[in-house]
Amino acid sequence: MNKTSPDSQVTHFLNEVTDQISYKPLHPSIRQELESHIQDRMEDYESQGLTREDAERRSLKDMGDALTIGIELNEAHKIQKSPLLLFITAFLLLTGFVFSSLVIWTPVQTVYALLYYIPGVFLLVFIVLKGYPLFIRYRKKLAIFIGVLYLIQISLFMFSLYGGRRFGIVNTSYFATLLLVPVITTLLYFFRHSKKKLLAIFVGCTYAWLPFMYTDSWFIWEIAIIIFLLSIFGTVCFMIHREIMKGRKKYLYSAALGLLLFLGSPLLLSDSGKRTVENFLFPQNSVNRTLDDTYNAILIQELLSRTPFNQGLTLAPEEMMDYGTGAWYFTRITSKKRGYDPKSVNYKVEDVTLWDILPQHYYNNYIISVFILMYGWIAGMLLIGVIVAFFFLLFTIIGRIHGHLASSLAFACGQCLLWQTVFYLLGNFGYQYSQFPNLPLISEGKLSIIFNMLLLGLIFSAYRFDHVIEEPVSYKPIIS
Amino acid sequence: MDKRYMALGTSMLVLKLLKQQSMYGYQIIRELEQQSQNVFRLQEGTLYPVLHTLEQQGAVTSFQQTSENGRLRKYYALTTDGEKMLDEKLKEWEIYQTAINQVIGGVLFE
Repeated sequence: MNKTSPDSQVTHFLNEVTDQISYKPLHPSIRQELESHIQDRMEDYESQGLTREDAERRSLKDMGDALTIGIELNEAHKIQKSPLLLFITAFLLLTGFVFSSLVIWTPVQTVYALLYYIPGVFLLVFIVLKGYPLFIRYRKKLAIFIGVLYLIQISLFMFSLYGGRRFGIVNTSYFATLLLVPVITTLLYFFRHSKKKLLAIFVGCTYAWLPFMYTDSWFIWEIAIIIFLLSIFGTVCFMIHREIMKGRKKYLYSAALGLLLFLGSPLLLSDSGKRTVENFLFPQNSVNRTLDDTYNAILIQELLSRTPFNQGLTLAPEEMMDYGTGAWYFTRITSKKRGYDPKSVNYKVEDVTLWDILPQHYYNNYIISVFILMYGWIAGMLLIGVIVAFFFLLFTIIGRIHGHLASSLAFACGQCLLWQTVFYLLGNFGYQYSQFPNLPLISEGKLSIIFNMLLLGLIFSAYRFDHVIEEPVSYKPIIS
Repeated sequence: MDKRYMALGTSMLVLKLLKQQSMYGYQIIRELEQQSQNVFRLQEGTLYPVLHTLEQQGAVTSFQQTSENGRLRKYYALTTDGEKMLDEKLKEWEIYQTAINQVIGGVLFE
């Protein structure tokens, strides 16, 4: 094979082509392909009797204009951006940062807000710029690493369940469940041509899943489970629609729905599942004291119903004491049904504020309703409108991703973010399903911001590099 | 000719050739010249943006093989999505061709 010297016309031609291509990691493969073509053409001309120099000149002339070729290749491989979505993301992150600093009860929590959001933004930027290419390049090592993480998580489950000691795994189990969404999506993609392997994954996951579902344990987050099930169901439907999973669509959709109902049945049929659904739909049926989550739901509904459209809620001090001690509900509404001890409070009627009476145990869980209480319904609906616009744009760019793995992964991550938001908003209007999830970008904790920035970053990164990175397992050719 | 139909024609010809067998870029150019008896002679470099775009659209897939002379070649193969795309492009080309024939036929008859 003839090697091209650095000073040759071929090298100049290739340099002119690749100079137009902005994504530099593509340069070597494009150079190699074009150079191979030019060498083949030169060999043909030389076999027809031309000298090497003449063959080179004619071959380069046959190739056409290097600038045009480079521009068209750059167009075919351009990095995609979505400035509007980035702007809305930045706006929501700033809103979350400001609110985390406001809805804080102690100075220590102000510091935590700074510690969560600032690294979260750096993580988001890193994942956007490098996430998807690194995922493609190191996917096998990543698979081993994630496998080890889950082994540790399961071991902690076992020790906690049988050892009787909490290993601080409550929050990690929530994220471990949600992380299964992109993990299982990736597995489904790589094994989509093998029905036996898919069946093995399904059986393995089911047998690992069901015992946990029927264990009434304090480290099982029902909210994480329902978000997981809805996200995976949505993603599988997406993969069927895009024909990433091949087969008769009617049967595939039916199988996916059947799987959702089967795996989700404990959420409806188990005792704790039934309690959770009743508390979600009818919180007033199980309010016993002011510390109950159901009481928080009733309180928020009551306060929101009194908030005007165009300004924040204003209450008389006596009314606020009523709400703060729980007397408004327990003496006026339920006094005939049960006895009531007023909640002990450390504030007096002279200095009571709205912050004193709001659900205090989970201050970060009511960001949206607090916003409405502070500024009125119109302002609150505008904020929710921005959140809706964010998800509309997010799923629009996900829809534009061509690559099968990239689009499936992005859709899975988008679903995780979306369902967290849906259940958070429902809780903020008094319909809390089980535990509160986070509101991505706006109401975040330590682990949640890392997790949600990872999800969001992967979506942006998959879109950014969709025309640039080749997928590791390509489509099955019909002729080889 | 409308640029759009030039692009349609080029991608349609490439897909049609790949339906016969997997080929590398230079091979596609040579086949195009031979099968069209040198009527179609593309600016050879412009084939590659077409191939890369078709690959991103899922119409073709690529793989590398080392040839007998040691040269590493990138082959392209048609996918099932590519076959559907070819069918659509052939229909579109037929509509274009019919329209041209009707106009030319109209002028001649006048």
